[in-house]
Amino acid sequence: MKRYIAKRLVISVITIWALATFSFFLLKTLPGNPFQTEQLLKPEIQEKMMSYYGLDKPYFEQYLTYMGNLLHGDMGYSFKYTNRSVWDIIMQTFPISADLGLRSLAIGYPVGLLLGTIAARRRGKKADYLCVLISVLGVSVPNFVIGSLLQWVFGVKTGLLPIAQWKGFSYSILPTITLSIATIASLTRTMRASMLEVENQDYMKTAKAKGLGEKEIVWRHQLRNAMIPIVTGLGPAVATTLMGSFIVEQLFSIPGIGKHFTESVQALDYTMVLGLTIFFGVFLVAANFIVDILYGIIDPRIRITD
Amino acid sequence: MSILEVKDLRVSFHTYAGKVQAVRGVSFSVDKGKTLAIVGESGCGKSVTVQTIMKLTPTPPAFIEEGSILYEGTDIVGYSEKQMQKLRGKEFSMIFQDPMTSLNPTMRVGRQINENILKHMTLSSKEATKRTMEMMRLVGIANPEINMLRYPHTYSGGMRQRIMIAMGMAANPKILFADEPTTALDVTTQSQILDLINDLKKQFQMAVVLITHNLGVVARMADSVAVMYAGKVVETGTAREVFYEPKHPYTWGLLNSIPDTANMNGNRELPAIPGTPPDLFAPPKGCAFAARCPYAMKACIKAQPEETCLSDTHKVSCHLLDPRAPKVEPYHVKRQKTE
Amino acid sequence: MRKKVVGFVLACTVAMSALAGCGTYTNGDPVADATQTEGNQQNENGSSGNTEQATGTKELTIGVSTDATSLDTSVINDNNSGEVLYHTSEGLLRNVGGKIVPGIAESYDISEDNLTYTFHLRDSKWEDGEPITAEQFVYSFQRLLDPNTGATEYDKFLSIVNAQEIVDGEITDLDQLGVKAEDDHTLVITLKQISPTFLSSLAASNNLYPLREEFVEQCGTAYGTTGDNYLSCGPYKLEAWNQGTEIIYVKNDQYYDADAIKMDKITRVVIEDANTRASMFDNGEIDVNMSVPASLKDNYDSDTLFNDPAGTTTTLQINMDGMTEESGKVLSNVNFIKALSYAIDREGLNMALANGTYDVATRLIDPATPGSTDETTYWEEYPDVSGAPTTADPEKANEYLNKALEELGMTKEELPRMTYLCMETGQLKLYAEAIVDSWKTVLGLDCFDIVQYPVPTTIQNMLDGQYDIYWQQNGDDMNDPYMYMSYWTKTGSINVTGWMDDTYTDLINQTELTMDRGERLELFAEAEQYILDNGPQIPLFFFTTLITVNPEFTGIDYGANAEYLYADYAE
Repeated sequence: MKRYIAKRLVISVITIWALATFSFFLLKTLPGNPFQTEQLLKPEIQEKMMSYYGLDKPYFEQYLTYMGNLLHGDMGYSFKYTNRSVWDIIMQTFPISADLGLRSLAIGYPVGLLLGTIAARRRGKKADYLCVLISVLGVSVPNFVIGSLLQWVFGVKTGLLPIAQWKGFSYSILPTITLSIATIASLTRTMRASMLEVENQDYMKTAKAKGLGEKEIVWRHQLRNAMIPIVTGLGPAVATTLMGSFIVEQLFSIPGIGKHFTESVQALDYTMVLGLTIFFGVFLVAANFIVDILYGIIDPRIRITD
Repeated sequence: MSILEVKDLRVSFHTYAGKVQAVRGVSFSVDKGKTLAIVGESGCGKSVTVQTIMKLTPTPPAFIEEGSILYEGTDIVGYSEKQMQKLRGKEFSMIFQDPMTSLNPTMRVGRQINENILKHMTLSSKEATKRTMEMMRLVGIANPEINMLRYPHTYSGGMRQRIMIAMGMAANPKILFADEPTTALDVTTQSQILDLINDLKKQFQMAVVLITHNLGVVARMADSVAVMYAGKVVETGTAREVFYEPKHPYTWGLLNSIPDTANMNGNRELPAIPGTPPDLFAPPKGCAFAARCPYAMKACIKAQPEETCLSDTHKVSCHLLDPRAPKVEPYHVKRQKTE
Repeated sequence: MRKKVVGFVLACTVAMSALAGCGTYTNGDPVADATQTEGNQQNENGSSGNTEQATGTKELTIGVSTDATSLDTSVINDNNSGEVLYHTSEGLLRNVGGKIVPGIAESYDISEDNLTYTFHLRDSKWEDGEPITAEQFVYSFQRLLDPNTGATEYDKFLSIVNAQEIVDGEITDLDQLGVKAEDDHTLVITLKQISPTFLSSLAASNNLYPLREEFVEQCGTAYGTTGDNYLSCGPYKLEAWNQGTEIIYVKNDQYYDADAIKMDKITRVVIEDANTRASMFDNGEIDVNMSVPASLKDNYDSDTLFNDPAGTTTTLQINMDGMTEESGKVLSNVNFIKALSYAIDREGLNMALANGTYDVATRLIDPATPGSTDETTYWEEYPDVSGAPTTADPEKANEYLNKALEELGMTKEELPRMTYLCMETGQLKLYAEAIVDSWKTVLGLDCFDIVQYPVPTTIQNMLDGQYDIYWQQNGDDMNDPYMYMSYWTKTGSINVTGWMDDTYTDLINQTELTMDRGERLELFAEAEQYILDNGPQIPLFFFTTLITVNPEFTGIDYGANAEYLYADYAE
């Protein structure tokens, strides 16, 4: 086990390094620079700014400087948010996105798994159709439509909940629901499919032949095996959800990290883009690693043996 | 004394494409402490019959159209799921063909056996664990204290089948249904498993319903045999009667197709019954075997043959047994009677 | 056993995460929360009437779309940061509603040769009671021009003695800059050449607010990056900056004119989504919506909705050098440019795409530009300058086209393909399609390709001359035409149009040689007509900003930027 962890760590570090390097040079190929904003700075001023930030040096030199700083834990300063460090901006906004993300997962996973289980156990009956309908709607209707609808019904029309912002528990209700719908929709489908696939397995017949009741069969035999493919998807799902949904955050004016992902690329804020990429990369790698370990716990056939 | 009697059982599957009549009137009986072998080719309905007895096939799409299943005199066809759960594991138990897929891969084997015990016997969990270990020893697994903590995939095929048997026997069932229990195993292991089943049968006076398409297994294990074709039992009787005095052309065909290693000189084609079984969406009006039967008569196509009782135990359904039918010579290889 | 432990841990994580949020909420203050819940009533015209009753203080909530990026006066270059500084700091002069009024400098003298400006500062204090001194202005000017600061908005002040040399790095001793503090209340600025726009640039600038040297040095690079790294000296003080969420201003009792400031607390709330913002306004959760989409214009009546000029001139810029040689030949033909211009139905576009909220432009200089006297505007003094029709004029357009084709010796079919370049933002694609379509229907020309890129790429392409026609939006100085008009001289820094015209350049240069506004405006009028007749800019619109204000409040304006210094309850 220890060797496995060590090996994974090394691979992870190499992955992140490759990610950072690739992103760095890819960014440089994009035409334009962070100072070409709609304010239309004069070209001499742009040039002055480029040299002030060292962006006129040869790419490889810039790369080495960046990597050197990175090893010291310095991600540099944002170009758009003058003098604010990339790490500070990430640390300010990420906890909020993560908070929202975790809440939506805390609702999305149980509900999604439950609906999927119901749909599978009551296959072909009304309950199944209802669950599948919910799932299809959740996937097809864009989340800004759902979010706007919720805002309108609960905020504008009835005034029961705040329309936007993130100032207290009541503010978190609508965005959490909006964000969790996508999770519920895809989980219902995946869980249903997985449960049905497990149902066709021979050991389910064995369980029934032992005279076990439905609850016992579902809980002890079906669920655990059906969860295996769900757990595989858990890593990327958690990572992406925690990284904030740009759309939901913008709709509800939540100061999360989501908007920075799109904004930094549009503004060519190099340091911000790189910082976010590396941050997300590390997160994703870590999430996948944890999932792989979890996998081994759930499915004994995949235990890591030294 | 029959512990299980199946009378005219009809089971069909309601699918989108139509109704598949998988079982079209099957009757047989099982005696306490005796082994009944059900033989037939793939798709003849043997598994469906047996699984229907335990109501393991999900009710849509499977439906029992007609018939009765008498267990210890009570008709269980109409039993609710709850009532069936009381029977399963306790009175009936079943072992399946592929022990790898029939055991839950993510649960320790000990627990899988334990489950059965705890469900049907009132024992404390300590006592149940003790019994689990006993059962494991019984089926020939040494060091059960350690081995019960292992997962199925760490066992070989034969050992897994033993675990399945341990699991099936754990609550002392009165009937053990074995659906091709050795088909997936190699020959030596086959032998061991069959011996095990026989031993257990004697020890616990358990009835065994053995499904197989391997006549060798039948010869070794069976007290009585039922030959099925296209959803019907075409011939049934004691093992001796069916092997030495078969009366149905299909039985002749089956016995004929056993490779005779003794008389193999040079290259002869393996004898087989030409043709394929009929489509059970629209089974024929007459005898289902007529299309492949070298002795088919006009009557065979028109009407289904009635069951003729040649003795208390020997029953055949064939028009050839009608007094008006021509006398025919069975085309099978005469077997030497061995005592 | 292990399974149970894992399950338990997972369950705990889930439970904790649901509660974890207690820490990440962006809490305003309890007062704000109380009024939030009170304000959630359904109403049509946004009357909330919540704040005064609830707490006894006067409060205003303004909804905007974008947060400030920095509070460091020297380095900012965006309107939102500028807005925050405008309300929490004060410079020498202020530009209020287009007029130059005294700020910290209660009066100023200009020398006879127009090269020396002497500002007399009044007694005023920072939020912590420290006095505002002339030295603090000197420090601010120096910091703006110091190349080590990384400032971008210094180019209007290069007329100051030694400013250019300092910016270029030739002089490193910042004290050589022509900005000196004679004493605590006297600031003297010397220019190396006369600059008629100096005062208006100074008044309009958000980059020359006074700075306290010890404080700025202490903060280092972190100066202006958070609410704590900033000191207020203006009408309001910055109480809190919850980044990404809101800015809270509180009345500054140390301000010299504190009696004129009526609001006790103003909250500048950032709501990016336009529809959410509008809903919150309708709901009474915000009192002002600083940017209303044109499509919602008809939901409000005239005592709530205001349409203010935004100080932006929008044109189609023609590359007379062309992206290719062939297109350059065609686009250098002025008649061809006129043909394109006359085929566009500006009124139609305005109604269809902007719900009629824009001002149609037939000329280039901003309508808000004041005239040579206090009572007139530039347009009133020079009403006849015109270069395009408000609706399409197909007859004239085709006349021009035929003349152009004749001169070029081409037929319509022989015209080369030309590229119309615009940014990926907003509705620019729709405008492009509508305009190109009108060229097809009116002129029968089908030779235009529309190309869109993200903002920096588009700008780069434009500056590289990689376009034939470009949707150009220029912010202009609504006080003085020089900023806009100087873009298109031979030395104009963003003049990548291939139009290097001596006459025009000459006229514009002359406007810098006299301080007489009347004389200058005459020159500008001549130049404006000249460029409309001969140059590469097809006027389209003057952008406006729609704002909605709860009728309970007054004193909220949107000039070139949002202004709410003197916000108050309406009587």
